[in-house]
Amino acid sequence: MLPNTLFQILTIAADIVIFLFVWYYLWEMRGKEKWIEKERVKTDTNYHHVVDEALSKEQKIIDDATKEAQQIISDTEFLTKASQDEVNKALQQMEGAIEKQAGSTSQEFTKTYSASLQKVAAQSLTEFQTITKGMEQEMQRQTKEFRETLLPRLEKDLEEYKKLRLQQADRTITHIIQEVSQEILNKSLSVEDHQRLLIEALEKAKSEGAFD
Amino acid sequence: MEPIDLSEFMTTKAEANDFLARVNAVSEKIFQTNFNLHTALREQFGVTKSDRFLTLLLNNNINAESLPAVKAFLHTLQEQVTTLPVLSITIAFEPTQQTLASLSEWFLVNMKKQMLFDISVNKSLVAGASINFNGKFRDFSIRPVFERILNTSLHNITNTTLVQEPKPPLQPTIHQRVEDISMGR
Repeated sequence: MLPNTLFQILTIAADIVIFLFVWYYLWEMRGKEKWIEKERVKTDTNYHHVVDEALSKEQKIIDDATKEAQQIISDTEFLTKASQDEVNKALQQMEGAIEKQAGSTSQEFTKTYSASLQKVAAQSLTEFQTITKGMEQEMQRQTKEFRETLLPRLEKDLEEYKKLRLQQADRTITHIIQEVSQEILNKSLSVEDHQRLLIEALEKAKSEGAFD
Repeated sequence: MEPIDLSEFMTTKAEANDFLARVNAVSEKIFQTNFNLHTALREQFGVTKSDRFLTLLLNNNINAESLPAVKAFLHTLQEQVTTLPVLSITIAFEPTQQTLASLSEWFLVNMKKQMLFDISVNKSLVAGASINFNGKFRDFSIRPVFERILNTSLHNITNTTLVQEPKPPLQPTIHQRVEDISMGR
């Protein structure tokens, strides 16, 4: 009985200790949370302050830059217009000068070209006349040579060729006539005639001793 | 033994070969059971020729009832056919059966022997025949005579033409003169 009571007392004491420990832990946690929240608010306040300050500085810089840019642009426009006028003037002067120079160059070139052309034409004509004369002489020489040597030989060859072809034609005609007349004569004979001539051939063969 | 006349059965070499084959067929069956000579001959030679064959047996005093005698006779026939002389003959027309019979008859009458013919046709012979017998060739056709006459005639014609139409002389120049040119006229 006694040990049970003691055990219960010890259990209750242990529970109380644990309870106290948990409570203490939670209390500490709450304190930390409060500190963290305080720190956060402080940091947030600082951040906003810094940002606002940066924005105001930025705006000032932009305004200054805009002013300065406008000033530069107005100066530049003035300068550009002046330069353009100067360039146009210079270009007009250059154009006139070039046109003048081109005209004179063209005239000179035409003169030179015309003179060269006349010179070349005259030279070509002379050369052509020389060549033509040479060709004519060569032609005359060849014609003479042809008449004296080649023509008689050609005539002789032609005559021989003609003779040969005539002989060939003659042979062909003879052959055709022979075949045709053989065929005609063969067909013009009756079977009885053929048999009679066959027996005559046998008689002749017998008389010549062909069957001995 | 006198040679047997077989001209009724064959005139050409091809017919002789056919005859030998048929005789051989009858001879092989002769000692078979139920052999009938008449039937066997008709099967091989037909009605007409089988009757001639029986007449041939009778003419040579062979008893058709004696199968050994018939067999011996068939053997004799085969031997005779194989020894028949062959004449290679070329003629200028397609021969009829009557032509072959005339040829065979001519040899029997004039040469007293049967001859087998190996016939070929060549129309260029015109007429007559060329023969090849015992390795000797002879041309008895009218082609040589025909060719001689034809060549003589053609030669005469050519000569006559040449005399009548003298050859024109060759032109000495080859150049064409401008005055001789005609354009499209």
